[in-house]
Parts: sequence; C-alpha cells; structure tokens
Amino acid sequence: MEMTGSFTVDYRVEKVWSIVSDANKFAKCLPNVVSTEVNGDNFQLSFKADAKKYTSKFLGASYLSNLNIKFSAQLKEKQENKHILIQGDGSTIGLKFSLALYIDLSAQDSSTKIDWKAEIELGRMAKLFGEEVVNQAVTDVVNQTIDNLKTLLK
Amino acid sequence: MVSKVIVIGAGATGSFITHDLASRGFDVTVIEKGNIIGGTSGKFHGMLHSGARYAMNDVKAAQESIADNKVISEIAPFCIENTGGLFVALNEEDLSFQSKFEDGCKQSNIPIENLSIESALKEEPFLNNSVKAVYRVPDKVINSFRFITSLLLTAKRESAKVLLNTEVLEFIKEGNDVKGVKIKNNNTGQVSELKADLVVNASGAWASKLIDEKLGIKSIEMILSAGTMAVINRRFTKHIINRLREPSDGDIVVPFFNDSIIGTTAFIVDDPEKFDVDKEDISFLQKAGSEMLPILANYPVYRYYAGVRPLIAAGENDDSRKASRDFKIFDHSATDNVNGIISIVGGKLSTARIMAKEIGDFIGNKMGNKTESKTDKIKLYWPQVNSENIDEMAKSLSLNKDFLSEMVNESAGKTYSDMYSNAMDLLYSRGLFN
Repeated sequence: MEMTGSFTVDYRVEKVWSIVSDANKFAKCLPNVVSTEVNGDNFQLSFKADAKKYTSKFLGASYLSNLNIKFSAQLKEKQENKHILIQGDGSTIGLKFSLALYIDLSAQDSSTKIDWKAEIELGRMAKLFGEEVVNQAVTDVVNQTIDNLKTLLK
Repeated sequence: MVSKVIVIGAGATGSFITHDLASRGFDVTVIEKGNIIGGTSGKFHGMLHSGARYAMNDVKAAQESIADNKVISEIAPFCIENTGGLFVALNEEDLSFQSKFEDGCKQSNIPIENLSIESALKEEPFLNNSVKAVYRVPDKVINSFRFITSLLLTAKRESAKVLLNTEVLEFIKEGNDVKGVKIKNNNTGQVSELKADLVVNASGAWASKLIDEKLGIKSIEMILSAGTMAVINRRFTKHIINRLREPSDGDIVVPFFNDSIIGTTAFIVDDPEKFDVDKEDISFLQKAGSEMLPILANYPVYRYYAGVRPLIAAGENDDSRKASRDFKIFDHSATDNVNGIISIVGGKLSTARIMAKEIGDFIGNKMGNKTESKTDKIKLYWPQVNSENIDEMAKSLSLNKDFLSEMVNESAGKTYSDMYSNAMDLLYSRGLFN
C-alpha cells in the first residue's frame, strides 16, 4: 500500500528539519505513544491504540478494544534540510507490518513544503481488518501526526 | 419420534448444548476428539465474569454475564470460588473511566461497591498502595474441568451419550443431506457410524477447518485469536483484580487456587494447535500485572499458556457493538445447500448457558420440538460422598471404600475451596466413561 501527500507549514525548513531528523522529537509527533526508547538514529516506540472502530466488526471482540502496537525504526538517507527516510517494522496482535516513510522538504521563503510518501506492507493485517479499514486507520495516524508536527513547530 | 442430534465438541459450548438438548428430550450424542477441557475451555483465565469488564463498551454482554453468573452460581456452586473482584484505578487516565464504568454497571444491573482506599488495602494488602479508586464487583473463579464434567454427567443422566477421545473421520452423506458421522475411538481404535437427524458442529476454533476438510464447506470465514496467560505460582489476593479501563491487554490478575494468572494478550494465529507464544508478551503481562500487584514482579513466571478462539465478522448490516449476540449460528442448508448440519461459532464460557438455550430454541424450531429450556433451574450433577453413600459410591466408581475415604479427606483439606481438588475432579470424571 502506498500513500502520498503534501502540506505546507509557516516555519523555516531548518526548524522543520530539526524535528523530523531527531528521533526524540519525531516520536513526539506520533499519536498515542506510551513509551519511547531512542538510541541515536534508531528508536523503538510502543503505542496504545483505540481500535474499537476497526475491530467492532467482529462478534464479541471487545477484548480487542485497545491494541498495543510496537514499532522499531531507523532514520536513514539524511540530506540536511532536504530529505529523510524513516524505515521500520512493527507488530500488533501478532501481526507484523513494515513502513518506509519518505519525507522531502522544500523551502519556500519562510515556509516549508513537506512532501511525503508512505510505503506500507500490512501482510495479514489487511486480511484481518480489510483494506478499507486499514486505509482509514493509516489516514487517521497520518493526520494526527501532521497535526502534532504543526503543534510542535509552534 | 425423538430427534437424534450429534454434537461435535465438548467444550463449554458443546457441553451446554448437549445438556440443554438432552433436557428437552432430544436423543443427543456428544463427540469430543480429546479429553475434557483439552481445547479452549481449558485454556482461559478461570474467571466467571460479573460482566463489569464489558460494562463500558458492551452492555448486552455485561447483562448476560451477570445473569449467567447468578444462574451458574446456583446450579453449579461446587465449581465456583466466590472470590469477588476488584476494579482498580491506578492513574488519572484510569480515573477518567469511573463514570462510564459506574453508568455501564448500573445499566447492566451489576451490583458494585465503591471501596475506600484504606479498606481496599486492608482487604488486599498486596495491592499497589498508590491506588486511586477501587470498586468491588461480583466476579468469581470457576473450575472449568469440573464445570464441563458436571455438565456432561448431568447430560448423561438425561440420557445423552458422551464419547471422549473420539474423532470424526467423515460425515455420512446422502446427496446434499448429512445423515451422521463416521467416528473413531482413539483409545480402542474402534471405528463406527452414528446416524442423526442433525449434526451440530460446536468445535470452536476447529469449526471451520472441520467442515472445510470433511465437507468442502467454506462459508465460515474465521480468524483465530489466541489469548496468552502468564502464571506466577503464588497467590496474593482473595479477589480477582481488574484494571479500571476499557478492555485491553494485561488488565486482569485471577487468583486460581495457589496461583496468580495474569491475562491476557491477544495475537492472531493460523492453526489452533501450532503456534508460538511471543516471550515479550509474557514479560509484558508480568509488568502489567505488577502495576496492580507490585509483588508479582518479584516472582518468576513459571508457566504460560494460550487458548484460541475464533473471530467471526458480524453480518454485513451488523455492528457487533449493536449485534445482539457474540456468537453466530451457521445453518448450512441456507448458506451451502448442505442439510442436516449447523455450526456454532463464538461465545464465551461465562455465558455458555444463555447461548446453549438460544441454540436449543433454534434447533427446537427446526426439528419441531417446542419444549422450553429449563437449564436455569436444573442443578448440575456433581457426586457428593458422605458416610451414608460411601459404600454405593465406592462400588459405582470401582474403588476401595477406604481409598475413596482418603481422597474425600484430601479434598476437604484444600485451601480456599474443595473445588480445587484435582483428585476429586479426576475421580468423578470416571463417571463419563462407564
């Protein structure tokens, strides 16, 4: 699955770069993070996600109302103020997924345009929840991440 | 003419269906490929839910749980330890669920009591002493081996036949009609045929595989979800301890005899019998349990296990939060043009009686038997040995009277409750084999 998007923030590219290139700061943009472990450009996160709207299609699955998600990733392909790749693997309820998030920054006067592309391998997770539901979940995460990034820039 | 029904699977679901149908006058035979609680019913946390766990997001399940909690306590008191349960809030986030929890319990008719921190810590001194709020709920512990054995013993007294260690080799078919099963007794190797008017596939996590392999029926799309439990071999509480929040991983510690069972984490598996438990889940469970009972961090996890249950999608127009049931009846005459067989998927041990009643109603309607279920009133049979009947019991169990007397004394000396006597469970389960 591949998703792309772009948005512009009213901050200089150096400030945006200082967040997306720092695992500690980038982790703060991701929603529902319960714990973070950072070691240089490597980081491990655990999330707690409210999954009711995704798991409610299953009978008697209230025990899946909240899911713990583990994610380990590395910051790669760093080109200062221009480009970065965040690549990692995660798992929840025994299902694995992988993510490659390409971020390209371009300075526009005092603003910064952020183009992003996410390549997501969902494996059996897509079969469990259905492509449409997973698309919605990923879109939710992306939107929350962008909102958090904007908040952090402030 | 009495209708003949074969039930495949003697877990909580199949055993209660067997009892329900036999009590309505059906001629029932239950077939179990393994031993008692060899499947999912023997690999859960041991809790007879009060329903409080579901009160925040599934009121229907909560209402059914408290209803069956009361009924099962009445009809099978010998397999229950009335531990009670506590819901504990440990931080501000947990506290944010307080009003939702109280409202849900009220709506579900679950009696709860808000305890002072002081009295809660007095009752449960191993509880995290920074606990912010505590509620008492009527959770209980159930011995599933004894529960299912007593269901089967009761069904036998209602003329049902119980065939353990017996597997289905194939279904007997005439055209599109299933007419029975060919079975093999794995103890003796004997192969035989059983005819029936209806076959009920209640094999739980194995339901889809069984009818796909033997009948080519593919209409049951099930995903298998394993629930992991970690066991510390010390007991620190009288009550079951629940985290006050919506259902999630690592939210219960169940005192089961002298153990503490910490549950659960869920993960998806392909095969109900072949899967590995992630060791990280075990560490997670111990950590989550020790947030409620810090002392759990001081002892090693000495064993862990996982039970597999099926996940079934609700109907196209259903949202399971609104769907009336957590199980589904597949009538294969409607879905696959195969008559004489239905499958039951889903449900839980705590509400197995209500589920069996509804399935019994469905079968009764199908087979023209209008007898109503009375399982809420029928006391389950569990032998009681006393000085007056010890001679008779020893004879019926083919045991020396003095030996039986020693076993009864061993049981009476058990801490917490004699329901934890494995010796008596094994002894009385012999009644299923003669």
